[in-house]
Amino acid sequence: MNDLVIRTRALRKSYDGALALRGIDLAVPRGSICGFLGRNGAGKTTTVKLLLNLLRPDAGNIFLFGELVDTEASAVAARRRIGFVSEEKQLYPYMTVGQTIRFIRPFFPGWRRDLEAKYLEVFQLPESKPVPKLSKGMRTQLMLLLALSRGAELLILDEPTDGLDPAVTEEVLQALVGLAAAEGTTIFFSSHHLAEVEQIADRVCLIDRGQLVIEGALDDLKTEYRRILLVFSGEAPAAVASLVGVDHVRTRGRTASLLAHGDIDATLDRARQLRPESVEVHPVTLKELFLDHVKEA
Amino acid sequence: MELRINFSSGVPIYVQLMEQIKHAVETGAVRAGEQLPAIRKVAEDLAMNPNTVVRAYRELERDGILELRHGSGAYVSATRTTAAKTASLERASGILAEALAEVAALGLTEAETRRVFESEFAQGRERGKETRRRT
Amino acid sequence: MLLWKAWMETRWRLVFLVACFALLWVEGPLVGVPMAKLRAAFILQYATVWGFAATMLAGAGLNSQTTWGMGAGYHGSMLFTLSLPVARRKLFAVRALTGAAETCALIIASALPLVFFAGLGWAKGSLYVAGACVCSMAAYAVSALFACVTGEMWQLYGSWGAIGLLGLSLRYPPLARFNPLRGFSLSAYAAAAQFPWRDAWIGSALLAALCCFAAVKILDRKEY
Repeated sequence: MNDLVIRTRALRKSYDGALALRGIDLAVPRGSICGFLGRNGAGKTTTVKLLLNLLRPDAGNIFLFGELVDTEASAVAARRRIGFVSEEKQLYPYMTVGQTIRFIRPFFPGWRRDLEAKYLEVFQLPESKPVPKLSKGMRTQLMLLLALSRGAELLILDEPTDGLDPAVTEEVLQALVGLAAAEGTTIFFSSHHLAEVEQIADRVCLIDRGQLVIEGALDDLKTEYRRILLVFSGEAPAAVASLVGVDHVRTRGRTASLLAHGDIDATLDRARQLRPESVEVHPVTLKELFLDHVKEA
Repeated sequence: MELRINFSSGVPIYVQLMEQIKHAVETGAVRAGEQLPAIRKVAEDLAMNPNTVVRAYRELERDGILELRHGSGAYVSATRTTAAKTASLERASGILAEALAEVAALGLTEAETRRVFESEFAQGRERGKETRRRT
Repeated sequence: MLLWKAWMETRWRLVFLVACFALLWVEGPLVGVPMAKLRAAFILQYATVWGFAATMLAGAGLNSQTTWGMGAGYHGSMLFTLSLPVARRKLFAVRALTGAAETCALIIASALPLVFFAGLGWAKGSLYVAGACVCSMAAYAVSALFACVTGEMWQLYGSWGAIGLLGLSLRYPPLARFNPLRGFSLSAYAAAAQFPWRDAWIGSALLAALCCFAAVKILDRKEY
């Protein structure tokens, strides 16, 4: 049950002279929907390209479906089981929708005609329309159709809902979730839309400046992290910044906002020793987790 | 069954789902023995993670509210209260609320009120036994 | 399917080139352009024209980005293509070979009138045409190599630079012996009774093989 569909070990990559990835250890279990978050330039697309062997790592290993991927041959074997949607969503400008589908189909022996027909209808893609005449939303949907219909065990999607209107976005999310539920497909997708990640993901990875700063089940993260708000009668004491069990502190005059992690009760006790006037504990949203972890200088 | 989830809330999504299903059962929106929508359908309709739906259904089964029959789906447990019982419970709730309000007007504390209630309860049991003895 | 894709990527270029070559044989001036003069120029410089054709057909699909006209728009789709379960070498081999085949077809078609005018006859004529194909493969391979490394613009500059270098080297006898460009010379054949281009063919084959080898090595390591 817990076999890892994607596993990387100490993945390093330099790009244009700068260190893009500093040792990434990813672990995506089968059947999960894993959201891959990070600011622009943090290393998301680099990681995705490494997984597909479009780039080669400077150091570290990549395991897909439990097999080491380090040659073109092993990459080809892995890609047969993977559906990919790239960031730019570019297809072939000299083909129509139908021609594109017919071109891609033979590469995948497990192609699902029923899913192809279903998504053609759900996404309302006109078969004879040339690809360059499609709107961005429809191009994305076509790419998704190509990725979802091939009977893949793993979907790697780079910003699948980027630039889509809310109605199309919902259709896309429903399609992803439907496939995961029906076929047990593992989905690894990067996104800037935290609300969507909270909606469909059960695991989350946050990458910042080339390092994985958060990784785990979304439910666990929501239970392990708490926001503690302290109000002091005078200026917030400096000791607040060095409390054990606190990942991030923001003080403003008499108020201190702490992002606490792990043994919350122990941290609360330590906070109370600083004699605040009031103590409040709140749950933490994914947005807060994201911002607090990436905004540090 | 209308389900509305707040995905950004601090409350875990599976907990929200459980609460809403429980509410649907208690208000009679879904009745005993009725089949709940398939996990896949719930996940798709709400565009949410199917594993979360699975977790909610399983916890509800553990709590005795649902029965998960292998191969056929999730059904509301037959041991749950019927609609008539629900109505009675509601009426009882109303009656007690009024009585408590009147008693409170007499100036008794909560502890005192409880003692009176317990003694009445006990006496009621005694009276019941006597009635049965006599007949 | 890969063949079909390669065809789709190169067909308009081929059509354009065929049209150009066909137009050359039109009698009389065409929209003010004196076709006879162009034809004469072609007959003098056919090797150059064939080299240009090879260059055009080597682009689009091999480049990771294209910037002008019939090629524009392939950028980005390269990522998609490479994410398919096909080995890189196979992808590029199909595309490269398709372009090579088209180049040969073009040369065969356009060389026939030349051979006719030179009065070589069938045996010598077909030998010449075959040879022209072999030698143009050298130009094609050079162009394809540049295509793998750069975008359309630099591929053209690079290919032309290389062909120019080959042209220059004709002046230096030690280098001229195996020079592919010698393989296009009709006059050499008409004059000699024997087979004059053996060395040029060897040189072409070697150059083409070298370029292929280099291209494969580059593609294996290339980052997208």
